[in-house]
Amino acid sequence: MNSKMEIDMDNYKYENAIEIKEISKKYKDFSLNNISFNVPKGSIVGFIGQNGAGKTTTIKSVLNIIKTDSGRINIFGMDNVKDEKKIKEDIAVVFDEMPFQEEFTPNNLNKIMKSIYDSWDEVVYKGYVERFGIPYNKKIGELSKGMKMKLQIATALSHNARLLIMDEATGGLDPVVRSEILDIFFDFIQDESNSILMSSHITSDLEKIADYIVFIDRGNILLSGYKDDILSEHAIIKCAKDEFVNIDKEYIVSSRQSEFGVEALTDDISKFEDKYKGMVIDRATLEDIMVYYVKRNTDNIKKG
Amino acid sequence: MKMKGLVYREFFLSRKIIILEYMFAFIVIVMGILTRISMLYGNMAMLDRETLDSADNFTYYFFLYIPVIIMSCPLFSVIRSTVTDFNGKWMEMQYTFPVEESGWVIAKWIKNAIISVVAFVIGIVNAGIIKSIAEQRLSFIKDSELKAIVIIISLMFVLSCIFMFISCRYKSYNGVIARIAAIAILGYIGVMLYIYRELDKFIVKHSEFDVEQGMGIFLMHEYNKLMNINIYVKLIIAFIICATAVLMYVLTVRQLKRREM
Repeated sequence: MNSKMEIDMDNYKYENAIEIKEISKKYKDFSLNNISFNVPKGSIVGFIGQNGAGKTTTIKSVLNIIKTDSGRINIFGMDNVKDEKKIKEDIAVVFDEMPFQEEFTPNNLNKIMKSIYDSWDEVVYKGYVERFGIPYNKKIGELSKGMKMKLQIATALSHNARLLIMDEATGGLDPVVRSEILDIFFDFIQDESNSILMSSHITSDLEKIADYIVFIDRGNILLSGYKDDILSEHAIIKCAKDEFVNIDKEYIVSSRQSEFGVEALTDDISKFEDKYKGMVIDRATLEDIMVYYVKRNTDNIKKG
Repeated sequence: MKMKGLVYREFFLSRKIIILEYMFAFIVIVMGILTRISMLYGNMAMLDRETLDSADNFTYYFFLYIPVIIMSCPLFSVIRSTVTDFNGKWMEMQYTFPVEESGWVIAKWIKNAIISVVAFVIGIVNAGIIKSIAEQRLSFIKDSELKAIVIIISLMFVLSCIFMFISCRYKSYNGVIARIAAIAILGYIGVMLYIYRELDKFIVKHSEFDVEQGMGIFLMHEYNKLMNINIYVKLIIAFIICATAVLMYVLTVRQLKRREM
């Protein structure tokens, strides 16, 4: 993740599509604390965390929609504030809600967007609209939620962007539509110069497509790295209460006790297996990892 | 020209109110023309001289200025459109576009400028028709009505610029309306106090008129005073209007650059 950066402003040589270095932002009741992570070129980074964890604030900071108190953000090797307009020609953004007024039609959007982006490709846009089965002259307000999201994606992908940023874009969509959308992202990422930063709390989607995972909670990065490494390092341990008492808590992220026993998450499965042989160990999903890390955070806060 | 799409968007979103207001203005213009024809050549021409003069004066200005005011009303759709931009996701989306904040402001201003020019042209055509009914010619130099039309449209345009800034600053419809209402009420009270004070002085000075007559003559006197002000005062007023517009542009762009989302 923290690969060496190569900047060549003229030729757009860079290794990371996004580099976030120690950004902070304080609100009355929430703060982002020294957030740092990268989105390597040609990769899909899943940005996970519960609602209110700081995903949207981080994305807004990247897009310079809000100003950070400190830290630095580079996009394509350029400063996200100083070179904002140059950068934004190559960025596509998909929000959780439709940003276009309901009375517009896909035809109207084409007319608006083609003057905004120099590289707007009307043929590509019409192609996407047709591929998604969106009626070209139907008002947005009359489209289903899935259709609206597909239209947003069609709009985002029609100006040859090299970076796609999505903020909870698949939330609230049915699995069939989500699967179709993930296919589109796969197509997009086939070009190795393209990258995706995808924030979501639907971890199953990210488990399917993400190369890297960044996990944020209460404004702090709890975990980041290759998705496969994260999944292979973590596991769910199932044991009886008296067995759990004897386990070294160094290996345990957090645990849940019920009358039938204890379920716990370990973040070092190889060492754990070496030390405690014969225990029931299940594969941990990203959702499990997220839930147990958040639980640890909550428990720590309760303990003060 | 990156803002072409934004101008298209502005017109598209305001199209219903523009069409509605212009249809309404057209009805008033037709009513005005018919009334003027009736006063000069129809049944109303049979009224006694004094009543006819008084009605003539009233209807002339009413049917000249009211359509202009109606046609300028869509300028204020800038409040709803700006607040909606903030409350929906559009403003966030707009920040992701490779367009400067000044471009967003100019896009709304271009729409307002086009509305103002159209209102001005229709206002002049209306004045020309009304004059020609009475077999008079419209003079750009002598006729104070044209100056009044320019003043009305300029004021409406500047007000729309002020309202846009307030909308960007306070972002909620209720918050914006409350502030505009407060400014309007203060302005109204100020104007009324001025009129009462001057009217009182006028009636004391001209005791030969009763209050009703005095008021009519006083308002006409004030109108003429306003239309025949010194060239330097005119320049100062023009400067104030332009300076206010420029100031509002700077403040609005600065407000948008703050990125308070």
